[in-house]
Amino acid sequence: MLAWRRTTLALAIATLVISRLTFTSVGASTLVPTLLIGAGLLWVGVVLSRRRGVAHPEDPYFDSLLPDGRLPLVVALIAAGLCVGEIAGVVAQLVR
Amino acid sequence: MPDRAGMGSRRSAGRFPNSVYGVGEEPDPRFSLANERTFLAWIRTTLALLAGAAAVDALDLPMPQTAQHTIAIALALAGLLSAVQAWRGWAGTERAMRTDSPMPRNRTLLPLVALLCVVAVAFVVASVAA
Repeated sequence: MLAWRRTTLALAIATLVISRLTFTSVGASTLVPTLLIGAGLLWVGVVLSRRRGVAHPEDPYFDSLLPDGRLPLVVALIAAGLCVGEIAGVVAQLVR
Repeated sequence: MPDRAGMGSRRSAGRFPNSVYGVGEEPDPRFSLANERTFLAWIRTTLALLAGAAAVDALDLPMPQTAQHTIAIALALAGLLSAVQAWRGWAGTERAMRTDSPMPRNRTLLPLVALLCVVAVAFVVASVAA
C-alpha cells in the first residue's frame, strides 16, 4: 500500500514538472491533459484510501474492495500520458 | 463457508480485465502482491526515464540543441515502452499465476536495453563532438 502511495505521489510531482515544461513550448492547451491526469490521480488516491479500510469477507461491499486491473491500468496510462506529453513538448520545440 | 476455489471463482465476477480474472483460480495473495510490486517498479522506471528526458530537455548542455532534443525524445520513448511493459507484464503474470502456467516472456526488455544503449552512445558522441 505504501509503495502505491509513494508511486502516486511521484506521478503527481512528475505531472506538475512535465506540465510546467510543456506549458512553455505548447501553450495553454497543456491544461486539458493536465486536468485529465490530475483527475486520474485523484481517482487513484480515492481507490487507495478505500482499500485501506478493513472489511469483513461477509460484508456486501467486500468484493468491490478486492484488487483488480483498474488501478494498474490507470497508473500505467498516467505514466504513458506523461511520456507522450514530454515528447509533444520537445517536438513542439523542434518544430518552432 | 465456501472452499477456497469456490470463493475464488465467485470473487472473480466483475473484476477487470476479464482476460485475467475470467480464468483460473485465485492465487496466493503473496504472489499477487509481489506482482503488484514488480508493476510499481516498472512505473518507477518510467518515471526515472521521464525525469532524464525532462532534465536533458530543460538543462543547457554542451551539445547541439537538436541532439539534446533527440535524446530527450528517445528517453521519453523508453519511458513509454516501460509503462506499456508495466501493464502487459502485470496482466500476463497475474493470468499465468491464476492458470498455473509458465510466466510470460518479457518482449520489451531487449528493445528497451538497445534503445538506452543507443541513447548513452549518442549522449557521449554529442558531448565530445561539441
